[in-house]
Amino acid sequence: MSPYRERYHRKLDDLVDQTRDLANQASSAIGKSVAALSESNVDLAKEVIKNDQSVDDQSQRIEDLCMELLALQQPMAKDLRRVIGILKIAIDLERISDLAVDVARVTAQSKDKIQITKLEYIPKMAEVDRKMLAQTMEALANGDADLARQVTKWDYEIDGLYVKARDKILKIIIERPEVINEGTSLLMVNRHLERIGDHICNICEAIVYMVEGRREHLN
Amino acid sequence: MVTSKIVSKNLSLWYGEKQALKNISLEIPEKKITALIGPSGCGKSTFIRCLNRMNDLVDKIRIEGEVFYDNNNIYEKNVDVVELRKRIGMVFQKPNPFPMSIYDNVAYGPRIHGMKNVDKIVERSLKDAALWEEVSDRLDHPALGLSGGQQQRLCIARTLAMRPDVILFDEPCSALDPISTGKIESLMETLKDNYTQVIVTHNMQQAARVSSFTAFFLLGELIEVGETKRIFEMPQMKSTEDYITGRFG
Repeated sequence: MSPYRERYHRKLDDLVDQTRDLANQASSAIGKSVAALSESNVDLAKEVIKNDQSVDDQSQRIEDLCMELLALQQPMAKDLRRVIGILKIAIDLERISDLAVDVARVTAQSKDKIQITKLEYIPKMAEVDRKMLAQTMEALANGDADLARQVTKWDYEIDGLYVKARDKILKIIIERPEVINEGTSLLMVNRHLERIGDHICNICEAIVYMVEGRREHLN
Repeated sequence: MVTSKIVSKNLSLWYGEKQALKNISLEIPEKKITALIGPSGCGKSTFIRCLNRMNDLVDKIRIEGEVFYDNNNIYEKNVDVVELRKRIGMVFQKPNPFPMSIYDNVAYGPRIHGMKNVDKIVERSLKDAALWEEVSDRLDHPALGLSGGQQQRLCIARTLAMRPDVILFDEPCSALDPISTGKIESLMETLKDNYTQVIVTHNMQQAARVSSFTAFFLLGELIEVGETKRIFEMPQMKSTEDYITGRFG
């Protein structure tokens, strides 16, 4: 069988490439925002905040391409699932990036404040988030629903780290009430990194739907 | 519970040496629209023509298998083909009104079958075909003066005048503009409550829009049949997916 509608199929492939690009930007935002927090690096935090516009633009490009394909090509079956799936994935990726920007703002706005503790669990969560995101994009590129399902299992690791980090921060706040502002910010960062894991699970659900047409609630 | 109006069982058909249909077993649900899709030459039009024995008129044709209409095999020897075609009407690709007035086109069938109240039948049929308002003041005008879309609705009215049970549409909109196509599709939707309809179409969006069930044919075989939503969202067979996503060459 030789394919026709080549331009259409090229655009469908382009949709995946653009989504991977957005995911790379989101992943980079997670890594840099947490590194900025760990190192109290305000410049790096500001870089993440500045780059948010690029993430928003990329997300808009994906949405436009989806609209164009729906309006002009009337995709069906797996193509339709791909377009709908990617529309949802782009929203989650943009949200992930927003959460990373919020993490970066904590550093950007607290430049003169002292680190209340050496960060231990939070960088680990960021690392797991980024690993999950990379594997999720692998699953998207290869149409691998099983890999997408597997990725969601790592969310348990995130949840475990979240609880450990939360308990540690609360303990510090109880022992040293004067750091309540910094402690509260760290609790928010902790929560954001945990939420990023949930967004990645949403993306995995969208990939399973795209590949197999099944709606599964993962994790 | 969906009941079947027409059931084909192991239906095969040959044009001379060439086999055009291969063991087609398909159930046409009552008072639903079933769409038949597939590339040119896949056998969908040949199949639809078997359902009211239109293929009987073709030379060197051989048919095996059975087609049941209301549980009766229409290929039995004692079947009255004229009566059958009255019950299972057909609308063709190209509108084919008779070269006579609008009124006479619709009245033609009822008259030759000796039906009474022809005026009422004509009015009701034109209304059911969503054409009455456009032609009620010029029923004596030549049908050939109507637009393509109006001519096609007139042909549907002509079919409806015989009070059929089933209407077979063989690419009814392929010669029509989008507005006329929209009117025919709305009309089919309206007719759904009272008629079993089968539509052959090359337009997959049309199949997706109008039908409840879709059957995909390829090289004389029925590849897949199911609820239209499932066929267009999650087909089971690779060749169905390849066809509807345009990966088929």
